[in-house]
Amino acid sequence: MKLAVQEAAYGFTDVYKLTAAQITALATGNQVKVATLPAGGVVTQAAVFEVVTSAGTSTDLVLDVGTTAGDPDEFIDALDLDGLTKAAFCTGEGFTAGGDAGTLNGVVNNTASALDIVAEVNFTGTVTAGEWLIALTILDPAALSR
Amino acid sequence: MILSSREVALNKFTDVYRFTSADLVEIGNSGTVKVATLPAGGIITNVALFVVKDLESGSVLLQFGDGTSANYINQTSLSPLKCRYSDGVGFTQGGDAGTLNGIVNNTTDDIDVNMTFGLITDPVGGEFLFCANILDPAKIAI
Repeated sequence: MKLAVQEAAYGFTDVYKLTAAQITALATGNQVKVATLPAGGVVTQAAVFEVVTSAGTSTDLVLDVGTTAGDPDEFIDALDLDGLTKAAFCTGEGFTAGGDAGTLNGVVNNTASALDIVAEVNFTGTVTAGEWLIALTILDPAALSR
Repeated sequence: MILSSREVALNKFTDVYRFTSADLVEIGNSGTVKVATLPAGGIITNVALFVVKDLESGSVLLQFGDGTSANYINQTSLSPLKCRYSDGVGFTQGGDAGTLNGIVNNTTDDIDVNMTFGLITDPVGGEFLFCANILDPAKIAI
């Protein structure tokens, strides 16, 4: 969901709310679209923020966020969601240089087509409670052409 | 051009410079154009070179920096290209482009942000944007 001007002033441009009910309905190994990276756009920040702690029998709930269907991990890579204390920022491979996560300033879509940004969950057992925000800062220079 | 507060909130850039193939022809080979100002004590946190409309023909090499350097965007051809983002030497550490968080003007004078050209060969039909996020703490001095 695109944020309004006043909300975007806080630093993010897009947010997606992921709930336990969605995760259960989605089932392990599946993906949901959370945002769009426009042609020529850049993701400069990607965050996962815990609103409600997870519950259920699952102890291996893992979240990936990215654009590659086979392994969407450019923005958030294999985040231990049930073990998350509060938040994670820019831990994906697209932000990683020299083995250090969060060291690159952005992930560019240097193509002529928009890309879907998807979230993928993997887990065993049940997820009966939990709520997280996937927040992104997406720069779109095309919006400034006029 | 400084952007409005609404544009800044939505796009996270503070400055944009639009140029076309016709502008490039007018400037000519090895020319330099000022595209923004990095104020004294200010910082550039990110820049982008974005292709709004591809060149129909011809070719252009250009870079962005201060003076004649490539601090912000390394020398690149405009075709084929959609976007380059903070890959200049000023954002590079240990050989990895885009690893530094910003370029500071730690002087008492403003610095010109320049677009400089290599070879321009009959460019036709293109339209481009240079976008920058420039933080200026002086504006919030109270």
